[in-house]
Amino acid sequence: MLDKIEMFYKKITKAMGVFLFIVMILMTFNVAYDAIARYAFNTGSIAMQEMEWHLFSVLILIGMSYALMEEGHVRVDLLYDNWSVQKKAKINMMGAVVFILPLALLIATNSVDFVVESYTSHEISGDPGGLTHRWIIKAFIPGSFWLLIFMDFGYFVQNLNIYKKDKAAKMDVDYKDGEAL
Amino acid sequence: MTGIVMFGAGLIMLLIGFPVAFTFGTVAVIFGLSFGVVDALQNSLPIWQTFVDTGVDMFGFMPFRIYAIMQNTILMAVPLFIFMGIILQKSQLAEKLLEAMGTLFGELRGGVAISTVLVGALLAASTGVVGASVVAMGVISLPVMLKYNYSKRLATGTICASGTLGQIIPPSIVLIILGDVFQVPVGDLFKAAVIPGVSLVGAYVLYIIIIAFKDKNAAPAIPPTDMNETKLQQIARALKAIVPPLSLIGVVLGSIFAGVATPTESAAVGSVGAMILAIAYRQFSLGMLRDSALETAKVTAMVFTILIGATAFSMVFTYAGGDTIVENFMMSLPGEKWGFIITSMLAIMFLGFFIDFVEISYIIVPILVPIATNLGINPVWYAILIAMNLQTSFLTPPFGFSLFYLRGVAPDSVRTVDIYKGVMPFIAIQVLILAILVIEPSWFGISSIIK
Repeated sequence: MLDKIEMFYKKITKAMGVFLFIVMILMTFNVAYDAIARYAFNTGSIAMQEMEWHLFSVLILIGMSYALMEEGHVRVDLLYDNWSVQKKAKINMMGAVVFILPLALLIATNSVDFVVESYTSHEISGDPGGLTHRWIIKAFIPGSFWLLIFMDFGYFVQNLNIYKKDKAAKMDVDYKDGEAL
Repeated sequence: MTGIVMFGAGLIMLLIGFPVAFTFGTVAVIFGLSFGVVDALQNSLPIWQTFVDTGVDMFGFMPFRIYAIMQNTILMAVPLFIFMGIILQKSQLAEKLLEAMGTLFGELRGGVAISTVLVGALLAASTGVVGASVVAMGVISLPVMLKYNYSKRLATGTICASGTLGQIIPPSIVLIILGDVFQVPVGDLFKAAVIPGVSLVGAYVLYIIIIAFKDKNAAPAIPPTDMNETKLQQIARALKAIVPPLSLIGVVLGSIFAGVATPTESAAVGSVGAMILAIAYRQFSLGMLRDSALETAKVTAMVFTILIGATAFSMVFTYAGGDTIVENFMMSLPGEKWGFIITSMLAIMFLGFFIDFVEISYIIVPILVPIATNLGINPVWYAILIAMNLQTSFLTPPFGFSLFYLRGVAPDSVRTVDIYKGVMPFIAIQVLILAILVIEPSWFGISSIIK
């Protein structure tokens, strides 16, 4: 069961990777195109320029969960590096519950009004020709933290599996050692 | 006082080893929520209500802060420059440069070490990825230097130090982040960092030359018989390796310095240029592009999650009056701005032993910026001082990143002690240049006071 959950989260992480790859490429060409259009041809659209930071926002907000699953977040590894596999897994499980969950919940729940307000007031870009439906990008704030909470569960399970497997492997070794004696 | 306790608690919790961004965010949550409870107890208010009104609502600012980060087009340069660097790195740029330069300068005494420094500087201007530079040089230059009996200390020290140049030579991620924290144009910081960066390169080379001539065994010349190309062929090969990336970086930095394009725009055009170079070098593939994009996404998300965590931390830290305590302390130091500069530099150097430049830039530096402004310190100058200081932290044993990366790829015949002792002279050079930059910024074309 736990293995199945881990596999499920691995698939989601992989899909997120494909998504982020596309966003990164779009953002690069978006910014490059706008720059060249503006300086070389003296044209450009406000909507395209606003699209730049929309893509950037998606990259950082969705990337937050992706980096969690792919161990991209930097740690102070002064002590961490020397700890056993089991202890590392325990710390990650503890962190998933104590360090990520409350923080993410607090931001996720506190950001909902921010989006609702934008939606009900039909907020659009302040510049003529800018993007409409501002609430969509704002919804990525609570959305990304709900996603983080969802992925956090997968991160917990992943580390629980690491812990259990390592423990089983160690017990196996102990057992064999015992037999040899 | 609570602010200081909070800061100490944050540092201690970091030692647990859970990702920094979430740890700092959580310290903010714990202290923020307890303020709600303390507030209720002190004023005998209903606990739950006050807890929600003061503690929980404090985080009602978060969406606004996060939204401001999302719209920050300057910070958008961070992923774009990283992307450009990783694409260039994956096109084997470092390998090509090192091989070409190594054969070119190898016949000189200390030549391989000098070419390593020069390649380090070129990589710094193009890729700026410390880990990648150190690994490439450790894999290619280190075996060459060891084969020809270079002193292990000189060889490892040179590689570690050259690898960190990406932190100060523009375009550097640290400078973009500091530009954002200091609210000064990133282009100004890039411009101001050029002379200090080049001075460092010059000082490294000078040091190697002195050592090579003082101690004949430290950095012997490679016998010309070991080279099977004519001088002309070597020069042609070196030019072929150097000119394309150098022109790309020339265009990117040139357009920023000339004020033609913003750093963000230049970085995006540079990324596209890097893709074209990769195609020209026949290193381009969809898989390579995907790997580069995902590596970029991971690093970017790491940086910005720390920024979000640090935002929450600073919010609560300010609420607790922590910034006022630091400010009062710094303002009470003798020697006015000198007391402040020296103390803050020592503090950053000390913290740099343990935490990363991203955390320092987002958590420590914002506390220092208003004080520096109050004292009339030129923000560009102060930012460059911090950048150079942070660069040094990559080198300092036992936790310098550069040392870890080199240790990872160095053969067993190189002992860790060799690496530690090898970087010492380079750290001394760093500190010396930093000291000169503090005392005589005008030598580097920077004014120490606000215009």
